[in-house]
Amino acid sequence: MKSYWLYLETFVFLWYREDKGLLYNSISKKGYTFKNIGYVSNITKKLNDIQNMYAIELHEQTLENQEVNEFVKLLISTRSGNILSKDSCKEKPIIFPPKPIVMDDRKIHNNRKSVIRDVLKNIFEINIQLTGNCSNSCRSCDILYKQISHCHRNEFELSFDSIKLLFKQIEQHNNVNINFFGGNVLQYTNNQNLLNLMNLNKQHNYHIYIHYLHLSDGLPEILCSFKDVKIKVLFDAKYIDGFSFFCTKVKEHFQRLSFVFLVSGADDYNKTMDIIDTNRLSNIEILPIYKDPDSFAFFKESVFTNCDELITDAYLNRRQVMMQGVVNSNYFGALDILSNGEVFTDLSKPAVGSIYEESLHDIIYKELTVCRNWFNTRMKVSPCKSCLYKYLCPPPSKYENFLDSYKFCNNSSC
Amino acid sequence: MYYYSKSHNTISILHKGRKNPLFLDEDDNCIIPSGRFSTQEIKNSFFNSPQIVFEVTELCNLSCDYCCFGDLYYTPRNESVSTLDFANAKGLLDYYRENTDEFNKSDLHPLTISFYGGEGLLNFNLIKKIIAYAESIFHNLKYAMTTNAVLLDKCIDYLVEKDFQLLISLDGDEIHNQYRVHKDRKESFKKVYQNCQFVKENYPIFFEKNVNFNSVFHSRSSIESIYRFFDSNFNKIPFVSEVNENNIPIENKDKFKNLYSSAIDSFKKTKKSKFKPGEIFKIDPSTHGLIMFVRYFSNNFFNSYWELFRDLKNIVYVPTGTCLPFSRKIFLTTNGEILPCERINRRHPLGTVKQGLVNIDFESIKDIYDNIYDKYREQCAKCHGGGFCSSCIFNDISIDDKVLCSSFKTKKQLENYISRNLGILNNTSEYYEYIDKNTIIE
Repeated sequence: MKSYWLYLETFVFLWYREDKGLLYNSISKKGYTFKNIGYVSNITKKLNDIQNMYAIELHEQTLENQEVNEFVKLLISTRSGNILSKDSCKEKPIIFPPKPIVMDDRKIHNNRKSVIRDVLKNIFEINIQLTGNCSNSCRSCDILYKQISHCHRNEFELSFDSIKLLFKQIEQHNNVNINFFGGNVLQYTNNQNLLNLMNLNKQHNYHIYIHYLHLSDGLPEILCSFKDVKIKVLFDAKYIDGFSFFCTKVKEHFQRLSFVFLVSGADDYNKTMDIIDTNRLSNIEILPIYKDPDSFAFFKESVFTNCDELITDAYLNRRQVMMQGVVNSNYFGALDILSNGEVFTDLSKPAVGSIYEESLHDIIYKELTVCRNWFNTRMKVSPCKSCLYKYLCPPPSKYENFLDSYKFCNNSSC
Repeated sequence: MYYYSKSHNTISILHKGRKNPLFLDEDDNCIIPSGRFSTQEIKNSFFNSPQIVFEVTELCNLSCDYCCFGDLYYTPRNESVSTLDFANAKGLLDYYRENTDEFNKSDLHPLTISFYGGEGLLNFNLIKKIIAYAESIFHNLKYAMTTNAVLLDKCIDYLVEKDFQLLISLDGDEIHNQYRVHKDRKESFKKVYQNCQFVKENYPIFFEKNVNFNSVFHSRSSIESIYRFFDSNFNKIPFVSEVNENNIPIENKDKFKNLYSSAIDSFKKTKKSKFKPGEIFKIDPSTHGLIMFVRYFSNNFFNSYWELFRDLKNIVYVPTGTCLPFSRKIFLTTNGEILPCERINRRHPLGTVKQGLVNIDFESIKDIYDNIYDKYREQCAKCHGGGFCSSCIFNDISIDDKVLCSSFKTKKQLENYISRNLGILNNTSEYYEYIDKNTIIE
């Protein structure tokens, strides 16, 4: 009886759950479902055993089984694997299955966390609330900033010395995204010093988020002078009728502005699209927000994931798929520093430290080794951890963490 | 049977002699390492270095035939320049401590202080003095040393108290240890063995957790005997290293040939049934090389979490495999020279400590490295080993303005390297599972 080697390519991922299987080719960026039953389920189990290194022996008789035959045809037609006759290839093929080995992770789980190095290289983004001062009383003030990048009100102002120290601590790193928020950022008492500090640290990327209501007198001189800072104007679609008037105020600075429209219903969305078309806006984001139970249906539809689209539109390469199993890329590397000095790695969870009491290094170290909010992947939340698509699905978002609900998809089997 | 796609850094199967059509659009050019370490990187590395190694003495109470400071090599020791001045050790510790806050070094990360020789225990008082001072200015310290264990019985109480990690040099049983001799050529095995057993019996927990062995493999060794000796006497598996083949004058080549033997060849001849299940991987001398192979070619290894976000195509490689200076340790010699490692030649000190004062110029260090890297440029442009080079610029031979890179690979050599390692995995596929589950690379 003839024998064959069946192998998967190193860039192919194989998952299964009960009688359903999913194959993802990270070079063609396409996924394929298959029936994981009978002999096929034995085969997929063996292929996933790391000792086999993605290659197993198959006898001719097994290949004659219809489901096995279809599975093998799927592998071949999608360039995801193949069979080799043992007559022509006596040695078992060796393929590296795509399974990440992260040394820092291993050190932490083997009680050798003290040897983790380059801790600060894990910072990609710092969101700083300069001040909580604000004369407005937006209804959703307390909940929006936990869902998206947004201002919110409190009674504190962050000391400029702590910001200086923060910059000092990251001065050896480049390209950190640093975003400033309020309250009303224009009311921060050290704005000129802050702009000077940014001028001396041009290796980073700066954004200032300003609520549209804080620009009722136009763009202030202090922001006009510093061209390296990008300004994002937050627009709650409820106030969209005032947009045209706002445009007259900031007309000459239009090119420096980008707009973030927040929509919580179909009506908001339609009005926003009209404004965008009428004004031919290009630097825009439209973000759904959850405000109250009435907006939930629209909100859910906006952030809804269609699992069928995941296997055609995931666009994840091999490294990115592996990353999904280790860290939450929506959160990893980002810190939120509130105006009272508290530092968060997830605004829906408790603070991990205070910038007034600890160094950035120690806060990040604590996040990596103890708090672990950056590691809240689909593998850790219900019902996603038992979902077949969990490695292709975008990681849990701020919305989901805020609502403490993770069932925002059309997969009915979870 | 296999082909290597350089663009994707992927080893894949040739099917009926053809590549996977997804790899047809290929760029087969060599990776040219154009990166350089910046002054700021070097400075940051120095003040975040996890270890400071003090060469407390050049004196040794043994005269091992294969010692790299002995007559076999180009660089024998001048034992008249024998001991480290405490003022210099203190000066270096002070300098390091004064700058750690600025460079974010936190007490969360322990500093390891290690001691080197000659035989470090010959200057035991200095070791104690350095530790006492270090403990007055640092809060989180660990200690380590390599020793021939001849004096271990006299010092063990203190070493246990300070929770030292010990690496004991012992080649095996009395026969295997016969190159490790006193200056009068008398054997050292009995005393060393006795001392090791003393520690094992009187400090069993310390022995289990803190003591490891290093065994030099030579012409009188066999892997099976080494394994059996250490397993039955100490319940340990030693690190095995071969006699160093670099830096030997022509007139000593015959002497070297008499000493040298290949540990890998010895292992190949050994029946695998001689080893306990799960321990083959630890004793196989090709393991380290295999781990390095898997590390690069599997595309599964990431040193840090942030590397998960890094696209291979965007990486700019620095020439050779030389470490970022001081990223592993800072080494202070007896005559006050600062080096990045104790295992390299001492032609290029990167700084000095004289009369307790540290003199180090990070800009000059960058220049030293850049000048040396420039000498590799021509070879690197033709080398197919880019991206996983293991060459150290301090150990390669330099002649005038040219350098002979010890890791240079032609396309054929790269193919052989890949084939050899795939062959090892083919014969013992449980090795990959072991690497996947257990390997920790510092």
